[in-house]
Amino acid sequence: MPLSRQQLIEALGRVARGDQAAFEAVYAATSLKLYGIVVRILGRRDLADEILQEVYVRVWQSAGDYDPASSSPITWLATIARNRALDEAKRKSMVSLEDNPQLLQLPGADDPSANYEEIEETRRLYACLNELEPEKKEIVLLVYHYGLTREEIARRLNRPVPTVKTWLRRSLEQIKACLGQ
Amino acid sequence: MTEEDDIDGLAAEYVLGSLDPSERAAVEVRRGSDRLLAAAIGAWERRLAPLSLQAAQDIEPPAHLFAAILAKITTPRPQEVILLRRHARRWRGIAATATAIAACLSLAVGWFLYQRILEPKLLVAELYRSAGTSTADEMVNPAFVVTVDLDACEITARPVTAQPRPGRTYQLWIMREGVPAPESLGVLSGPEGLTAPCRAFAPSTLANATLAVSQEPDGGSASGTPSGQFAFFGKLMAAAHGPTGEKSR
Repeated sequence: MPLSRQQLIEALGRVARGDQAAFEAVYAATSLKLYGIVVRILGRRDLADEILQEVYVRVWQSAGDYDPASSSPITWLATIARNRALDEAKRKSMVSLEDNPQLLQLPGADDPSANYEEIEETRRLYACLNELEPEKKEIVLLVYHYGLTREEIARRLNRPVPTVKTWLRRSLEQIKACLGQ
Repeated sequence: MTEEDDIDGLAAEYVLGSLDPSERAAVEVRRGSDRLLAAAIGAWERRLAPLSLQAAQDIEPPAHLFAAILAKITTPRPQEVILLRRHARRWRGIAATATAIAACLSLAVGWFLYQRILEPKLLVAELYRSAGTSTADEMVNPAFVVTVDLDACEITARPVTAQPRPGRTYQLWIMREGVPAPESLGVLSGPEGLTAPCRAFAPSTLANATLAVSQEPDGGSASGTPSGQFAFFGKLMAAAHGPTGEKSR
């Protein structure tokens, strides 16, 4: 059942106090999104099942650490899920953005779970990504969505690892400057 | 490049996901004590979060997952596991003594004890290192403790002295009488170990089954069989009482 941002913040507060019903509500409202993130990074449902369990155990244990002033609740939850999946990721086969064209698209305005602020943040980020050279934009997205390491990118592109590191760092600096944050 | 630039670049690559596992682990340790790095990671997580939220397709997780999560958040904490281990050791000693007595006593007493062993509520195994060099801690304490709660039909494995190795994952296997090949019970990917349902196994085949742990590439054995020799072994034995710690059911 969808929860508004404020409802999710309040539910996490109750989870921090050991409220299992609130925990179930958080799970019901967010598990589809977090499972989607974990499955995309890991590519294996069986492994994703284990990691999603760990993610929510972590949510249960550390809900008290969530600070609404720092990030939205779904961003905080997605970060836990993504970090845990990246730690686990080893699959990293020859994935291609051509197989997942939605990763290059702007979010749909009809996404009911996205509020105006989130859509604007996403539009700004994509505008900055579009200022990168196409190859570098693809590298940034491949790394973000599939957790490819510098070495794996270097092998794919037949480039030295230090060159890839320089590309990544410069691309990220460019994104930061473009976002002005 | 200033140190601050370098920290920001490191944070950016950490959040992007391009660091290799050892670099990533090092950043995770360092962020706990380096406030500048922690702040830079937080800022990059906020900058790039829209990518994650926008691109992820919603996928319905399997229905049983939430019950498994609830079980995990209500299973015994490490100190309770140690108590359980002591409990198990005591009962194992009693069981051994009882077996010796039973050999000498009447058939009726033997039958009574046989029934107790035949219908246990809880099975416990302590897995010790069988390959490689044991540390002093490993020589006196098990690497893993595995419990099978037959009432709840739940197998729980927790590391005790076993330490994670970068790039490797522990995988738990069961070898049952009459079953020719080891069967995987799952991957022990963190300090919380694993919890798995036991419904695939008849209770009579679990008592006295041998458990073993192999070291596999991250994610577990791709072939469905152990990649090399087992590093840890233990045997499931009956204990008399159910596990400590409340259950959600």
